[in-house]
Amino acid sequence: MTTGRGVLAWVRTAAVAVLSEEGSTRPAAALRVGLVLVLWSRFAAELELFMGLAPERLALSLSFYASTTLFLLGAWSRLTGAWVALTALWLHFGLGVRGGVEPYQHHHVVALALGAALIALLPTGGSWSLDRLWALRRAERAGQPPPPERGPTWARHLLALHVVSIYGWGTFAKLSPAYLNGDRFTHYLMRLYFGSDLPSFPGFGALMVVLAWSAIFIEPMIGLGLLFRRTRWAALWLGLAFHGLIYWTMPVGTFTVTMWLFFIAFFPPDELDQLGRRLSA
Amino acid sequence: MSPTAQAPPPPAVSAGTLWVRGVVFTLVAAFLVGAPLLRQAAGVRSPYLPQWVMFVGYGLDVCAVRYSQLGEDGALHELDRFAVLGHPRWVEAPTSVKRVSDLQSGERLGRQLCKALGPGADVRMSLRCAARTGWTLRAKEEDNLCRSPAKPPPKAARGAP
Repeated sequence: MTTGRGVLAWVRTAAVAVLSEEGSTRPAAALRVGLVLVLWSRFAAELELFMGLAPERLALSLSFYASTTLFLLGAWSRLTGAWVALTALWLHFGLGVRGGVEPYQHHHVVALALGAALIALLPTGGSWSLDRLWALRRAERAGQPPPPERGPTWARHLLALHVVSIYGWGTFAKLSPAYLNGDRFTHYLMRLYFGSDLPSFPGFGALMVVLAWSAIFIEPMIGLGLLFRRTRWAALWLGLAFHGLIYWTMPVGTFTVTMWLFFIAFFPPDELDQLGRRLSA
Repeated sequence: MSPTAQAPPPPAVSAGTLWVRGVVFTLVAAFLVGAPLLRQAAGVRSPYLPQWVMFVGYGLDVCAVRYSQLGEDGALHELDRFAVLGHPRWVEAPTSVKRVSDLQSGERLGRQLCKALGPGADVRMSLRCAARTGWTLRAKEEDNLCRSPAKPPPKAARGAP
């Protein structure tokens, strides 16, 4: 009974700490800028005005370009962040799932769209933005000191959960005999590199098993390692290297930079802010 | 100036705000974790529930192929299809020669080998194709690909019983 109450008290304390968290808005601003750059990398060419002249296609193009441009500049960031999120969610759920556009059903598009929705909950306009510039001007006119670059950052924990969920369920999906015995990894490498000639050098089969199992272990290590202060930086380097290697060797599109970007969510905003200031000092 | 130095003491968040954030947090967290749980572990098939299954359908259009030629000694000898088809450098061979994606493309490539080898050639194919469960055996060197395929039986006359 006492243990149950203790657990409840701990949960309550942790929940209040998370939900009332405030911190530097600079990491959220970095997420804002990074998100737009990744969205442009993935969708901008496909959503140019001349790519589809049907009214709904023109509206989507306009929505994408207007919302992301305003969000990049940090103009009315609360509003434009939500607009970007709705546009990205529409690309996946509307065009991809409902409309049957297969490339927009891919995991890297879902990850990006859901991430956009979570980033919209952060104080993304508090730094490096037109919103910040306008706030400074208002303060100057009123003879007030500059407003602090701080805001509620509780939603970063949701973005972190998003990343952990991707690693967790991504690992779960690999727990099939064909993956664990190296067959699926062999298919990937034959499709990408070897063609229909199964490599015959000694140890190839064992190498495929080792590579397959490496992913099984590394992905949860990154996701879990990022959660804890003591392992966070090691997990970050592991994650950067792991996704970088996959980008170099396999066709993963924007998934690598998306995950790299979302790693920001695991770090306390003030800690990242201090690091940034130390690096630029 | 650091934001910490700029910042006044953190404003107390009202209980109402905490409740709203708590509800949003719980719902979103439940979706982020629960949607893949339902889709991947509970077998719910709705495409509106995100799932994290990277590369699950990738590489299923590749087969491991081996072509052999029946020698005068009655034994099968492996054929170098790249050399026979005039592509001494494997990396520069066209994809259609490098990669066989199914039984039909394997047989098609086999017939090219027959043509390149000339009359009387006896080319056999061993073919295993990728599947989600591993490999599926599609051909095991039993048929001579150079033999003209048997003509299909004539269609029954219209109106015949």
